[in-house]
Amino acid sequence: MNQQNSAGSRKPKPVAEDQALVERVRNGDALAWRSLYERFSQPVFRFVSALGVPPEEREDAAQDVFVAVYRGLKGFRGEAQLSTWIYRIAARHASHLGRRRRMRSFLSLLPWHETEIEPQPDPVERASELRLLDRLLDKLSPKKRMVIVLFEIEGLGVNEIANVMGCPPNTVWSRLRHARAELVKAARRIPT
Amino acid sequence: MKWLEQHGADDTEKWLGEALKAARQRTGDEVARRRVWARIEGLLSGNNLPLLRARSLVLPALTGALVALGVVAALWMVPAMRPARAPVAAKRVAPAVASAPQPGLVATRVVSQISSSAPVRTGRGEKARVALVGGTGVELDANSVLSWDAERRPSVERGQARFEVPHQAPGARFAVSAGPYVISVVGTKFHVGVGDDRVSVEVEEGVVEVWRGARSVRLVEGDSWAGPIRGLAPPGIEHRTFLPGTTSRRAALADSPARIENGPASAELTEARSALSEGRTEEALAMLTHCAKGMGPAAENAAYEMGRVLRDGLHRPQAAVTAWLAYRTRFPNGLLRAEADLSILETLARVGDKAAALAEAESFLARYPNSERREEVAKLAARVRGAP
Repeated sequence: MNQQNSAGSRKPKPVAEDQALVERVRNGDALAWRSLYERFSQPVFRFVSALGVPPEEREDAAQDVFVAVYRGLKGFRGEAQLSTWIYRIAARHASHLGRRRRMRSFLSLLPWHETEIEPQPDPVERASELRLLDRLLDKLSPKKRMVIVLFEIEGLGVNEIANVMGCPPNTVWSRLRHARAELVKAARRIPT
Repeated sequence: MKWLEQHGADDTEKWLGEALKAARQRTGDEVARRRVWARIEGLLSGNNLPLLRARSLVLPALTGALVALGVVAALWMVPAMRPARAPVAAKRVAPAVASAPQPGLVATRVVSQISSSAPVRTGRGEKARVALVGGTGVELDANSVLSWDAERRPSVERGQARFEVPHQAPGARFAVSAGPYVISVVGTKFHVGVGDDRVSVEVEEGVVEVWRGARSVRLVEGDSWAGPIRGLAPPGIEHRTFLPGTTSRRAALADSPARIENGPASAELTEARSALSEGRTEEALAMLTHCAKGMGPAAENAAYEMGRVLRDGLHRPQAAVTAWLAYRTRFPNGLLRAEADLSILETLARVGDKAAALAEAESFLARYPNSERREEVAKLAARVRGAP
């Protein structure tokens, strides 16, 4: 998972290195498993946070992602970057949690249902600008949010995002353009 | 962030650029990552059964919920069959799911803070289990009241409550109010009692701090303390290091460092965290070092966080260990003591100092026989032992 900041394919990945790491984990190498976790746990936590998974659900979400990664390693053929593949799993899981949250929020509109209280901010993340950014991202549709998070925060290239989301690169560009415009528009509405 | 920089970005666009930059540097919670690792570590050896939740229940539950929703919607659409409003209103006042009282047993309600905003009250012969956001569990005794404010900070209004607080992230504390007192913890089990004129606290496990204004008392496992609700200390002893309550460890407390709330120190700590999130690591370390020289919880947090910045931000593991050892010397019973012990152990293991890491592991296991991190430490020690 990278931090480069140009479009297209943003940072070439050492595929062979990834494949070797995966192979070691498949062969039961505990150090390799640890190394895979250490390399990807922070991006996974950051990614699910940016996709709106509330602090109290992040540990479970990350755990589920790594369990899925472990179980899927046998089928990992190295056709995509390891990071792209893990992002895809994390994206799927975050979307699932998002749907569940939206269902809960819909149910809370029913007249006999108690109003749901806003999720508590992560005590570790006190910076108000991050909280505000999360609120702005909440206003985007899930697909647009995913694109802008993968591009602007996780630093993936458009082709990789297309791979993660299973859509053509042009669709990614289009969603990115709309997401940026909506984000700026929402930011302008914040009272100063 | 070229799209925000081209064509002369205005203030909003500049702000957005900064916020996205901060989001890229969001480091997250190291303790949470460590906890997840402790749960998934066993996957490789196949002993992963406890961590896997029963996924097969999700679909039936959802299907059941949808069917129930359909039935309710159908009832709603038939006016003659629509349920009366009164029961709904009653549920809003007491949204708890009540278990049917059984003969000879005390009725226990189960309440979730997520679905309820009203205070939880228990009557005679009734108990309640309350799940707070963040994982804290509360057992509320009979004739007790637990409420929470708009920010969901709980408060024991009356009666007896037992809290079980999961370990908090470094720098974060769980706080519960009881009368004029605030009980602050990192992760522990304790009882709070609020009577007509006294508040009492008993610590079952871990470390607890009881605050009233600028004064505090620190309690460890097995301690009990009680303080008056009215008529605190007379004027002139505002900066005493302990509250005028009763505790079995008062003499020891008198020797502990003064713990006076320090506004500027807290602000500096916040500033240091912001600097860290913006990648100004050296600057953050300088601020933390300065803050750690002060007094109070902010100084303690800063002393601990220096180690994390040195290890993770500046990649100086030995210096990090030195910082945590300094924390340990200064705050031997600190709220972050266990966290510091674990950080030292993990860092020593990482740099390959096998003997020191094993000594730390043994000392940790002896010091915290009931710690939730015990298994994690035992696994780490086993790995260090097995390392070449």
